[in-house]
Amino acid sequence: MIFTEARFFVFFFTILAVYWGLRGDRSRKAWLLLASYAFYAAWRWEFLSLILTSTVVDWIAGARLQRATSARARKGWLALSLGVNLTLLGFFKYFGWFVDSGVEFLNWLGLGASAPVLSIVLPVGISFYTFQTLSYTIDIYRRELEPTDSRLDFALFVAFFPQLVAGPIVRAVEFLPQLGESKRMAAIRWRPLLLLFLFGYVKKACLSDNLSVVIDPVFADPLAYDRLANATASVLYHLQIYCDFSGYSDMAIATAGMLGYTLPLNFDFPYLAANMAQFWRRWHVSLSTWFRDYVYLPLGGSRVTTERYVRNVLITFVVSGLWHGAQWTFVLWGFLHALGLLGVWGWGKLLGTGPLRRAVGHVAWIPTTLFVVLTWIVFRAVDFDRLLAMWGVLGGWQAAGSASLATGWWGIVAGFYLVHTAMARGFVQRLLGRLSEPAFALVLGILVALVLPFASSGYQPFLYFQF
Amino acid sequence: MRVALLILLFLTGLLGTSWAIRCLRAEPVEHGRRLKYEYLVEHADEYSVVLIGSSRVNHSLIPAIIEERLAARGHVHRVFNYGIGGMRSFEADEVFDKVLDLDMPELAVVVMEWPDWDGIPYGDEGAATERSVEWHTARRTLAVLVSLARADMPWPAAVRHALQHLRLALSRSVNFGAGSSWLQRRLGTVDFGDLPEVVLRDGFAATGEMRARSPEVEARRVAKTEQLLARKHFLDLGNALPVDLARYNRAALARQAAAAEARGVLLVWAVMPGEAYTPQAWRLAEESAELPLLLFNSPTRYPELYRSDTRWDPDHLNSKGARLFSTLFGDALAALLDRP
Repeated sequence: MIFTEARFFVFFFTILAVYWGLRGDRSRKAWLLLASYAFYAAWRWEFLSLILTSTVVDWIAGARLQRATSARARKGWLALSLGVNLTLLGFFKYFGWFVDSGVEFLNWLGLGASAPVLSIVLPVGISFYTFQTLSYTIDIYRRELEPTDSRLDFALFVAFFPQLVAGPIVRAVEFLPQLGESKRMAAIRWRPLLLLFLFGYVKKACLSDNLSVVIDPVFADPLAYDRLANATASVLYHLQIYCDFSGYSDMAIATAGMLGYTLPLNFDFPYLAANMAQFWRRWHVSLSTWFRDYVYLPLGGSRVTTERYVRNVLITFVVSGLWHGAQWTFVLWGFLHALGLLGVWGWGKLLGTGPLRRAVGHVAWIPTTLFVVLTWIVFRAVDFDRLLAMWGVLGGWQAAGSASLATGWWGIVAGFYLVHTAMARGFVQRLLGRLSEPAFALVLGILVALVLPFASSGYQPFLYFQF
Repeated sequence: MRVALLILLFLTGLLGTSWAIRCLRAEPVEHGRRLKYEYLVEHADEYSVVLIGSSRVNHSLIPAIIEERLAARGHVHRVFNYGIGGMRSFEADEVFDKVLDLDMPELAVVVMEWPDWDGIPYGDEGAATERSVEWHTARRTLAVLVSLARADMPWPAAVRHALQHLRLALSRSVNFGAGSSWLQRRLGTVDFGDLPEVVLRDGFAATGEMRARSPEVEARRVAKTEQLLARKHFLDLGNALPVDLARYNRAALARQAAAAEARGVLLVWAVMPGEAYTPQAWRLAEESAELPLLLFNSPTRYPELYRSDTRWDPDHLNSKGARLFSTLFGDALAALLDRP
């Protein structure tokens, strides 16, 4: 069940109506937990056991961490939490990749090796809820969070359906206090939430899903297409991945908001970033801050020697790349982004703080966007052969095919950037914000009627579900 | 009260705008539906007989031969073949209404392929294609739900099909997904193909013009045709089966008849010489000899239409079969027109 499907709307309106119809926060939370498990079970009910395992283990580990008096015992309980969660994640997400890579390596060394083919189904959203529950035990270990004494609250924190399968990754420290607050329907700000959901829907159903039909054949066989078609597909993919993921996040934030919960901002117009540092402060914010707080800073962050800083950035980004999927292309993507970030850092040192830096800042958006587009090819490529083929065609050192894509697609790109900029500056929000309540209801109906014809009639799973 | 008013305003905006957009929508593009419609609109004053149905109509009824046979009996008509691949009862009903709405000055006869009104989504009918969405008006959706309620099928299947139809009806009411192809055509990002002029003239397409298929599909076609011919006697046995006519959606049939009568058009139903047996049609024909119904799915009555040299596949005739069938059909239609 995905947010753009008709059955999700039926599901959500049922949940919403019953939720606000119930009296008492405890019964509402119990209802939400039940709904969350049902939402997840709609994919594969068997994998509910994984969520339940994480819930039970981290609940116990959190409580014992708090009670433990010796440093050794505390480390032990944290190790249990990390061990169980990362083992589950590692098995389901990385086991096949480790085995395949190992076999390939042994074969490369000339030691003929083979391994039985083991098809492991990747449980949807495992990377998201695993990181979420880890934040709970790590924060308690660091004494930055008190464990909750409510099993219901903790179970709902792990399984809360709006962000269960594709984020935003919500920290316990952000979410658990909200579970203790009493919710009032009158306090919900429906207008911005309805608009946010609509914007998310447009990005996912109208843009991303329609673009995938064009992009997929080019990425499957770049050499069959001419240079312009490869460029078009690459640029369209950078729109698709943003629209797909930020569309999901918008709908998740809006859905949670209608239930009285606030989820953190996940995208802050990243394609308007003037450099890679800005880009990572705006793209998948909940993940980048997670890596910052639980990987980068524990490694020493930036207040270390240059060598160690470079090492910290490289480790953080390579691990972040690997988080996205068990493929060497993701590792390379993370590595390239680390280089991009280090390049910006080095370049900044070179330019100093004078007028030259300001002048460069005005045009830096262009190389930043180009870099992002080129590295998204790495992210999207099925394998290195096709990655090199596409880069080769774009760079002119690989012979291109004759198939083409219509140039009309560039109109979509231009339109996207126009709206993206207008939204970033708040034009659209301000325009709609000025309307009276009845006028807003009428305009919302008109907007929905204008959007639905452009929704893709074939539901595509969200790209980030695979992570 | 305030919330109810806001919801009402929202729905007004949604449904009002959706209605306005729907008025701008063109005919569905799939399988040449739009091309045939636009052709007929342009030549509305030329034709007096329109044949509506599936590929069985499109590939089996040659207008020129039918015109010739009708003329031999003193009925001068121009015949247009409005057969569309995959078009079944309810979609054909929609096309039927659109043909009547064209107010063709010479229109005298509409021939409809026999409707089974079974309501089971078939092929891409279940998907939200333009053509499958388009026929789901409130009236037809209600009619298809009636058919499903009366159908002899397990209720979970009936509910599943009903939900599918309701989803398509909802899609139609808000034009869901209808704009993507419109936008893509304007951006030039998709090529929807074209029908050759030879097909458009009078609407007929020979089976030889069916798109090229893989050797496996071809082998299957030949094997299935042989299978049908070996068991063709079952078709007559099937047609003779007793059926509960209360399960058949006669109301939908009656509505078509009334719509045609109101326009002063003779409506004729025809069962094509396919592989399906249609006991309902045969029982209704027995019940009323006056019913303008032509039955061709009988190997006993029409052995020439069930021979390997006249068939393309179990459901379609080849060019020779089409010529033969068009002659038989023209004569049978002329006999109907001879009636006082």
